[in-house]
Amino acid sequence: MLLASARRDASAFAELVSRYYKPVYRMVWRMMNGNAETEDVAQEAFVKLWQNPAQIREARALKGWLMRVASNLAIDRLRRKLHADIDAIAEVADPRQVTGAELEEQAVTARVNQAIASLPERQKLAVTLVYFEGMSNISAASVMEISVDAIESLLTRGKRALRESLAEDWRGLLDELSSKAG
Amino acid sequence: MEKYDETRMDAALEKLLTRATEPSVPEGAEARLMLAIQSVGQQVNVVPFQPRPRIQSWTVGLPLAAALALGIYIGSKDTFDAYLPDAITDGVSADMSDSMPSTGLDDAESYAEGDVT
Repeated sequence: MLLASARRDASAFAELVSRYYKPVYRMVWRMMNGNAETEDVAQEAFVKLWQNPAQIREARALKGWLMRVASNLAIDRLRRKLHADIDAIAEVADPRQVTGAELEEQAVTARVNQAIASLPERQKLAVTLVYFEGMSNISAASVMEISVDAIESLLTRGKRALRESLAEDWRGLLDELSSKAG
Repeated sequence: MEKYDETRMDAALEKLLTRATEPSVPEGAEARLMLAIQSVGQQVNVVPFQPRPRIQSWTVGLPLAAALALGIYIGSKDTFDAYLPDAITDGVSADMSDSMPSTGLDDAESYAEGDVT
């Protein structure tokens, strides 16, 4: 597919897009805290691939390359913006009539989103790749171009930050979840 | 915080993370991407890596070994002496016929006796 894409075969490229667009989009969405420019950034990463597919020498490196390029673009875009729209996540509206339990659920979701959005960039990327995209530490380290030790350190610090920020307001929830886990 | 052990806290955290919003790709995003790539060209400013063809070591080693063996063989025979310049062969024979190499010891005696002409 990669070779076919290099020969300007749009249908082969469409196959690549259908395979990798969703994970790239999800990662960019988290890095940009649900910002409206998520689609632009994800698209830009694929356009870079289309413009110069020779940058990828091995097909198995493609996903990692896309993730790396897209995350760098997302971080650049975020840094250019003076105010990242963190609150936009909480504004995702559900058109259905919601019950009290659902409202509570939405509030939990908003708090978790907020805690993730508040992480420093690199910790957020590490948490996103490993916890949300299910990548191994080795693959995530490759995407971030750092050592496995470094990504483990980022994950440890990220988890600690998440635990602290969520435990402040959701100690009861943690109690409940912790007792179920036990 | 202290009452939670590390494993339970990690498990709780992972469960909490599952409650984060799961982003969904907007309708038609992939189609818009495919439209976008139609409007941009491809660059070829990076030359794809071409692995260097492997040189078979024996194709080099075998002729070199044969040349070395031939050189040793020829060097050990007089077969080609006639073809070599006289300066080489004469010089060698002159050196070989000189049974008393000059060590300078004879001259030393002369110096000791004051004959320093």
